[in-house]
Amino acid sequence: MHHYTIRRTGYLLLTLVFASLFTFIVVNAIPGEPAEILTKHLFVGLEEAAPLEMVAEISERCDLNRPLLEQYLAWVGGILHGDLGHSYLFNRPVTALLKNALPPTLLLAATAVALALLIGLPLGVYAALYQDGISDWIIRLASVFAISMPSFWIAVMLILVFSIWLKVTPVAGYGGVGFLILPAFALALHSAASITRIMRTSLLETMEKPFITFARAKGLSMRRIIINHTLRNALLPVLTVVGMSFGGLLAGTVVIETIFAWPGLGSMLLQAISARDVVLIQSTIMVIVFMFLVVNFAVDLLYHAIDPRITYE
Amino acid sequence: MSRVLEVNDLNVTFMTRYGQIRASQGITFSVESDEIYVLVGETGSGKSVIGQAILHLLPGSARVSGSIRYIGQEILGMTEREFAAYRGREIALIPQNPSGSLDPLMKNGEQVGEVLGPGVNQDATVRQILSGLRFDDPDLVAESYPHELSGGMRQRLTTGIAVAARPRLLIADEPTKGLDYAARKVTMDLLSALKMEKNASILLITHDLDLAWMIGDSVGVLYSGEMVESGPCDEVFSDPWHPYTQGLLKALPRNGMIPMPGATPAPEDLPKGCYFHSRCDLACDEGVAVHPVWMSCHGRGVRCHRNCLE
Amino acid sequence: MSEGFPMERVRRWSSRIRDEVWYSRLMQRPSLVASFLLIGLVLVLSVCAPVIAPQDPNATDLYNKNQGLSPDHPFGTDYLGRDLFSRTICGLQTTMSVALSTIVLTFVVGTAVGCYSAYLGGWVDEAIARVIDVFLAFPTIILALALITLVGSGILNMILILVVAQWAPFARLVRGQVLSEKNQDYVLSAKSAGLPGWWIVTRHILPNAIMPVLVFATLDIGHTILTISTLSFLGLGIPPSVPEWGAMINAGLDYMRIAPLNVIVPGLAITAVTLVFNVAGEGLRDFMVPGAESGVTL
Repeated sequence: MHHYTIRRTGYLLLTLVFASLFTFIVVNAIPGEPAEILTKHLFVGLEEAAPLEMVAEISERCDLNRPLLEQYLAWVGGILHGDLGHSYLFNRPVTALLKNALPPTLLLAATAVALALLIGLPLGVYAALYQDGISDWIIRLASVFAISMPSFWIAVMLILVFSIWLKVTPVAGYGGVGFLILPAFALALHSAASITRIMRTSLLETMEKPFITFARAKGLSMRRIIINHTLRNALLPVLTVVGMSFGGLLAGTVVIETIFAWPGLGSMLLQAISARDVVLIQSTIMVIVFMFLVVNFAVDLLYHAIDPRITYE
Repeated sequence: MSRVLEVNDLNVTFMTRYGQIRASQGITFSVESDEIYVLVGETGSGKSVIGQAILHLLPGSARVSGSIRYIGQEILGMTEREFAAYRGREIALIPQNPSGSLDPLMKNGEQVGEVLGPGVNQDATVRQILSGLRFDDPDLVAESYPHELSGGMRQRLTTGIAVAARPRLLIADEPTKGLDYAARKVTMDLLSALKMEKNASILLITHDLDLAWMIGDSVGVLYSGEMVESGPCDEVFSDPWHPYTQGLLKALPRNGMIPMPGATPAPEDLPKGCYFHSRCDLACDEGVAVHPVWMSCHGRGVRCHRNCLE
Repeated sequence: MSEGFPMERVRRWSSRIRDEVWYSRLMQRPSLVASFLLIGLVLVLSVCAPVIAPQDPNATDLYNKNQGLSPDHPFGTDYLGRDLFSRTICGLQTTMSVALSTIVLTFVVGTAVGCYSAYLGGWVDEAIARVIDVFLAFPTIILALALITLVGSGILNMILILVVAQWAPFARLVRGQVLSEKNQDYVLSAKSAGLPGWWIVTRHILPNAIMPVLVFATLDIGHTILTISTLSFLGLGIPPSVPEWGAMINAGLDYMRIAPLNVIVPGLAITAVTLVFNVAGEGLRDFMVPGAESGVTL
């Protein structure tokens, strides 16, 4: 087991490094652009064209005409010092911006995951137990509907119904439960639907397995069969799905945070992209990727802690 | 000698969307205490269904009628709650698919131990059971998981689970299916030892005639859901009355491996008259339209027009 | 003298189809057939959209902005007085053309890379597998956003970006499939018969491996549609002159209180089309699993 953990950790770091390289190249690939943007931000204003000599001088002074690889290494080096550069959109160090934006996103994401599990798991179990009944059909229909709806539309409709028509929640903003509930729910809905479906399918499949029949033949109590045998086996695929849907959740924060004016990483990323603030863009993306990889890593370890049939890839 | 199991006129029918399928008809046999009774037949003969019916493990689409008495007590009509006390403790199953029958996420020792009730020193008893199964390293087996064992070891493990609570009746469903020769030998020895050491009766369900002949005491031959011959093992196998039994023996490798022509009729399409008629060497005219009746005499029975007994 | 239309040929061909096993299995699932018909309907509508739309989707009429339902405007008008119904229908054309182009290209690229990598094996396969993993480390929209920084907006750019963002899951799936087929006996015997690699791959391995990929492709269309509308909602990707559902919802946000249809209708359209593809994809997946009928083991 430890072997496996070490291997996976090494693998995680490797993927992280390559992902950062990839991000850096994509974001900085157009030569001269960072310098041009910088000039516009500092001196000329975003609307004006930047005079070429100014751009060249800025480029020289800020080391922006070094080869890409050097700049990349400088960035990575900066990570180790806690210096990720300076954002020109907000005129603050990137590190400070990230520090401020991380807690709201973590809060939103964690609440969304919790909501998704709280809604999805029971509904999935219920649908499996009453298979082919009316409630099962309703749950399945609702689930497939929910995953076909775009999350930004879910958010907008929730605002329409609860904030505008019913007036029970504020429209947007950052604050306590009242502000949290609509964005968390909008974010959670897709995952909740996926979890419901996989829980139902997995439970139904597990109940048909020969080892469950044998458990009955052994004379075990229903309680023992359900808790110690059925649930443990049925939850494995659900775990995988939770990990996978976390990626979609993180991507969803970009839109949801923007709609609800929630000051997290997602909304910050969008603003950075609109303003072409490359310094901020690359670091924000890396934080999001890091979160995604870490969650998948944790899910993977948890899976192999439960399932002893380890296969080495 | 009391009877551990008495089955009378057992019928199992499945309700499917294609109609009713008769899996077993009119099955009648009994298992004495301390005996190994073998139900022999090919796939489709309905033999596994009988074992499942006794244990109330048939799917919801099954309709069962007839009588099953365990030590005099009628168990067929019992509700799930009433019968649950019998499973594992009185009547246990050695399943057909040992690999699939073990929970992949649970340690082997725990899967044996959970059959034992509370208030028992589980670890010690589990070790004892595993040693009795001829495992070289019972402690290692107990701490391992099913996927770490070989097919033969899993078969022994499920056997151990079945006998853990010392049931009076063991139903062994195809215990040698898919096993290599060495594993088959171990299983055979194990079953014989169980009968002698534990005073258990065994209902052995198999298509393996050698196994049946070597360790069986009495045998019932099944074809297309009904019993076509029965009696003491030695007598039936050395002097088979029914053409199907004769054909089965002729098909053994050591007898020349002569196969029977044709195939078992599909259960949804059973012929009128004798089911075996189309494949029978001694096919008779009555067999076309008249279904042969069961006739028994001096401990042996047969269902065949050609075997009209006094 | 033969007829203009080869009726006899059609008759023979259709009776041959009806004899096929998969046909009878397909007919046992009316919901799957229905979803395929709906896909056909969606495709037809998206092709004919400009013809069907009663009004010019871009015709502004500032005197009639943000109106509700009326005979002239079945869904009302938007903030520039444009007919919502027409815009919604033309939006279908936009969405479907981008989505289908994306899926086809993603399918081609992903399958090619996955196949090539798996069949070659060795360090090439390892390297490509790592590349796939790097791409998979990015949630789709994040990667798309990063690429938009690079190439900017526009329909062709959008398609390109989506393909780059979405090819990796395909490649991984195909690679997995080919890897498991590679060691099957029929491949080994083909190899020992001296058949060239590409022949084995295209004529033997691919047909066996392709079904799960097709299912995934169908499901991915739905996912792509959602991504497209999300990007256009954010104002990125599709130029504003082209009617697109996500952008329409964004535009309607400011007037949500007085003209809610502007945000409701396009969203319903997105949901409906995505739903059709999702149901079809899942029905296809269930169809592929054999023997799910009520089996009886004796």
